[in-house]
Amino acid sequence: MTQPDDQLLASLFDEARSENVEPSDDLLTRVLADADECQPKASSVSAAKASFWDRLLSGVGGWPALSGVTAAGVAGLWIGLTPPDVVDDWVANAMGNTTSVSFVDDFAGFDEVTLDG
Amino acid sequence: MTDLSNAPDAALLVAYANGDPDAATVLTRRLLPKVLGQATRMLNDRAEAEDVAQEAMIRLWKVAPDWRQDEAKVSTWLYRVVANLCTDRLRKRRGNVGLDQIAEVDDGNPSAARELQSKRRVFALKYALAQLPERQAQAVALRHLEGLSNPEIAEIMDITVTAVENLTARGKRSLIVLLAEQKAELGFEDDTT
Repeated sequence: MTQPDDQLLASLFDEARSENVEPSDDLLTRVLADADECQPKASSVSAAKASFWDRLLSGVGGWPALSGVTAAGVAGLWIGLTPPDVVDDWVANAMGNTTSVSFVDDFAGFDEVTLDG
Repeated sequence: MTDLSNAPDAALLVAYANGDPDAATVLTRRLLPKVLGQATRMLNDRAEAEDVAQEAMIRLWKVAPDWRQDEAKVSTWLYRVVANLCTDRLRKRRGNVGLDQIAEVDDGNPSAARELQSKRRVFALKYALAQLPERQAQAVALRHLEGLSNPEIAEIMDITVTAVENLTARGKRSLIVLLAEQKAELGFEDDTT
């Protein structure tokens, strides 16, 4: 191998590198159309992320069943907060009156225990 | 709209996979010129290079949902994809096109003789490159046409730096032998470039 041959090759590489290449508008359009076609759609992305909840919901019977559970929970909370008189009377008859007894006077926040009377 | 122009390639790819409508545009404008340039320099055929560039970008879009940001650089991955796609096309082209055929095509072009000679030289180089074993052709193209460092090429080709050095050295020796027969035809005996 001679030095002039190396120079010949270097000269050819220089010429090849100097080619100016800019994407045409047509190529840009095609590539962006491909990108749009290949892009995971928002619905499939959220579906993949929600698969755990889907499985959880299907285990309890889906959204209709969950709405029933929710309604029952809300009703229970409301009854617990504002029990009608008839409920108080029924509880007193069935379980007796309640009495509060303090075991640890200076243990703030944990000072009362409810026992059956 | 979120400003994505300064986001890293990998972050844009993840945003694209998550359905961001602007990530693909930013990535395309950033990466397509490089991809097309590499393909054009390897193939010396604009139409084929555009096909390769489009195919490489399709592969990028498809791999996006599975992309792991810590595994590879997007640019490195693309260099590898384009190099492989071009090598496939060069292999199929082998023996099918000669310098004479290109000369005939260009004979109808009234451009200056110097420009024509430059085109023929570049074509001769690409044609000779296509005659090399695939790995040699890839290493030589990445080193001398793309101007990448040996460590970068080693990462792209998944080989050692020493192996890159061996491949490029052998490739250049083979190119010199292949081109030596055409020195006069390419104007190198009376041209002091």
